[in-house]
Amino acid sequence: MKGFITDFNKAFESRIRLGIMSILVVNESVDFATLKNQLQVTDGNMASHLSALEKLNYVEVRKQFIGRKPNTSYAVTAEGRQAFASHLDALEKLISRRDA
Amino acid sequence: MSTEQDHLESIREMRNLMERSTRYLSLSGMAGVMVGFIALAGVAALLTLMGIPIGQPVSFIDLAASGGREASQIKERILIMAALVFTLSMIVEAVFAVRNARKMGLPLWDATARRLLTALLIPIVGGGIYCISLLQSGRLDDLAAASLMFYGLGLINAGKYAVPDVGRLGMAVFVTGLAASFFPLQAVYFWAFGFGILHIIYGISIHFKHQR
Repeated sequence: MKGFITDFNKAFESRIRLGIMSILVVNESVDFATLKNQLQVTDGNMASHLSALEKLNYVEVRKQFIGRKPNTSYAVTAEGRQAFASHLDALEKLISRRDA
Repeated sequence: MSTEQDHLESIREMRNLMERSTRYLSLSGMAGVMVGFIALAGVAALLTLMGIPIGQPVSFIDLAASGGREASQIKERILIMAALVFTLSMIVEAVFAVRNARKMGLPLWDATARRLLTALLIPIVGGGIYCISLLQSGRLDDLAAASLMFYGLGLINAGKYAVPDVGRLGMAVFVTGLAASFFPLQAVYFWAFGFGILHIIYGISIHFKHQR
């Protein structure tokens, strides 16, 4: 049996990244300010987690202008959705195992 | 971070975030109750103004055809009553939503609020236009059923972006509208039930379930 701990995705070890992914999988796209407010973190913190997820190709950035204001929003990629789902599966396995 | 407690905690947090980021949670139960009473008052005022004892079958078409001083004002009165009930209800909902959002520390206006309002307003604005056409062409006894049905559909649509009770209220209002369409002479009482009593029940249940 492969150790299920190895199924845990290192990219999701941070609560904030898990939070970002949770919000993005249920929304078409979410802007930076909303993510920041929902997760109650600072700009810098948010930006670094987002860019980490972006580098892994788990989230994509959409820049657009609303009127004259630039607006950056984020959406989950197919790859990110897949990765998040397997991470949740691993969590689920771990917990149901402990319960047994 | 790999004790079981941590994992359970983060799952709870994720669920919470998914909920909060898709559903608008600041709707108030008290506002629902007040909206219900506004609707009941509106119906009572309309019937009283036209001298119809409450509970008696009403045909607005027959009344309008009966001639006389009152007849010419029926359309205006229906329109004014509907507009007043609608406007007052929106104000009450808005005021209570502001209060609630503040109390719960949630943003008043965000993506969930925008989605909720869009989902609600598409059927309602469409229904409003349809009701104006009914009013204009004199199909006065179809108004109650039509407004109930469109409003119900709006709530069903909006239910995805608010607490699930909103969708259930929508279903009940929609069915009331369908039933009203079979009983045009009693339709105004179905309307009082759908917009009045159902709102009050929904408001009380929301209040105790979600706001203590």
